[in-house]
Amino acid sequence: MIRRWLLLLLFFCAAPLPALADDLVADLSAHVIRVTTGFTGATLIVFGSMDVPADVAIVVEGPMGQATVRQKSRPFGIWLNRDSFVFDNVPGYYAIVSSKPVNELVAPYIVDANGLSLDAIHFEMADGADAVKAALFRKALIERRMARGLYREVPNGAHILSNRLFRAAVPLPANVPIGIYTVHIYLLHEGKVLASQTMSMSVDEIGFSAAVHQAAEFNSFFYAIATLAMALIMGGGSACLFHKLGE
Amino acid sequence: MSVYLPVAEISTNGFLLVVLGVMSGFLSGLFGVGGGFVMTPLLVFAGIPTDIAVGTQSCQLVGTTLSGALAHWQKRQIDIRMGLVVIIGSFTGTFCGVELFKWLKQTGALDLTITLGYFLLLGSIGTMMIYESWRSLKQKPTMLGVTGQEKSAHEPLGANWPFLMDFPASELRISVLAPIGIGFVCGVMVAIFGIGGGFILVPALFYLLRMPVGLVNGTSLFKVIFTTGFTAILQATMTHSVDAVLAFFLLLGSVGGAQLGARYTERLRPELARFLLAVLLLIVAIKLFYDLVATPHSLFSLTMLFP
Repeated sequence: MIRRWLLLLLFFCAAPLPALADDLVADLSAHVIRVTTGFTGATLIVFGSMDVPADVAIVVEGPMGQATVRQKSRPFGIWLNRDSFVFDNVPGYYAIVSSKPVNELVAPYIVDANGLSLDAIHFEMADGADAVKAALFRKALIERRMARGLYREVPNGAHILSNRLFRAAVPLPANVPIGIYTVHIYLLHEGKVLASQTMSMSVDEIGFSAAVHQAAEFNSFFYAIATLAMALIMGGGSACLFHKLGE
Repeated sequence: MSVYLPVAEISTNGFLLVVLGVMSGFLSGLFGVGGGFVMTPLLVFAGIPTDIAVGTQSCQLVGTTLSGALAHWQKRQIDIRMGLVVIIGSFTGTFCGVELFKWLKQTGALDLTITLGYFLLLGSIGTMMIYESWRSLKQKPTMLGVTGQEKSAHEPLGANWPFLMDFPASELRISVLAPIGIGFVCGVMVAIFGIGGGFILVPALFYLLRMPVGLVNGTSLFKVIFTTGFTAILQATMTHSVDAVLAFFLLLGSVGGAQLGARYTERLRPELARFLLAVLLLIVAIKLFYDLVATPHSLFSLTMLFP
């Protein structure tokens, strides 16, 4: 009897949950994006299958950092940075790739709750910050990030094949920040989120680039001496070379 | 050819960096300056973050100025003793300049001081040099390549001060306080504006100390090796803003450019060389002024820090 009650309870608890794991199976073309000396950007492919005909929206965000936005003004006839605002927990990269414009698929509150548009990204700020000022600087932050190709919305960037398979290309430009990223995949149908899946991936420096960056951060005195030595050898070497050529 | 810069974390064109290097190296060898005042804005324009551009510049300038200085050394165009005395003053100045920098930052006047001060410095030195060199260009059309001979009628600074010292290479007997003082002022500028100080030192050695014109460039380059070397170590250890890959590609061009510049300088009349340097200083000053006054493309700027 108790068993039956428990089962019933379980059934009622589970029923409202939108995500039944089998509805959506997805993976990434690469879980590590390798940044080598010749890195010119990459494309992350998100692909998978779904049980029911639906649209997809994919959010790629990462790594979290602190953003300082400064505003120039002209106090004495010259432009200077006067005002600034600090946001915490700001993703360095944010992309929304979907099979249709997201606002045609779901209601605004779902867009906001799942971060399905750039306007819906949640940034943290200090308690008691001026809301009007925060909104202005927030808009500027997003605009600056978009100008560098690091925040983007790609409606129609995901393709659905025969209502069962999907494939989306997420562009990662050459200036993409190093770090851990999160990929959220949402199945959207008739204004609802049918299922979702979250994965992580990382952008890592590999080989020579990684060695240089590591040394610069953690072995900085040795790095300074080595870089100076390189400069001195190249400077001295060229002087010798030209001296010999001149003779 | 695309190159990924590991510290700047961006990808850029390696060929473009080599070309920029050749240009700045040539200016360096030709005029006896580091060339950072031209190079930093160009690197920023090429999309490199300002702090990385400034930090890496200091490292690259060590190689460039060494290359140029050695070219002058082979022709005995360096007054080592003068150089060392200036360096002593310069290091003292840099330490005081760092304190001044902190104080300005506390009072909140740093941004204004840096932008306005740098503009006034470039503008005033450029204007004075252009006026003087234009007059001497018109007055005495001397022979090509007459270096080491040109001396002014005025007394050098510090000729009647205490602590006299002989500078045999320059054939000067002046107070040791004069070059130390000049070095000190350069050192303060180095700390506040993040520059090598060559474009202040070259006119100071020539106009104030009346050094023979043939020794000015080499001696200035000799001094800049040490200031930029010291700055490079500070930048790499304290601000982590030196990108070795960026430095390598810039050096690839600049060390050769410096050799060409140092060789070409003999074919250039000294007045003309000063005139051209003055024109360059004024162009950069006008560009700075334009940036200060013109309405910027975007009123907002963004810096992100990742833990």
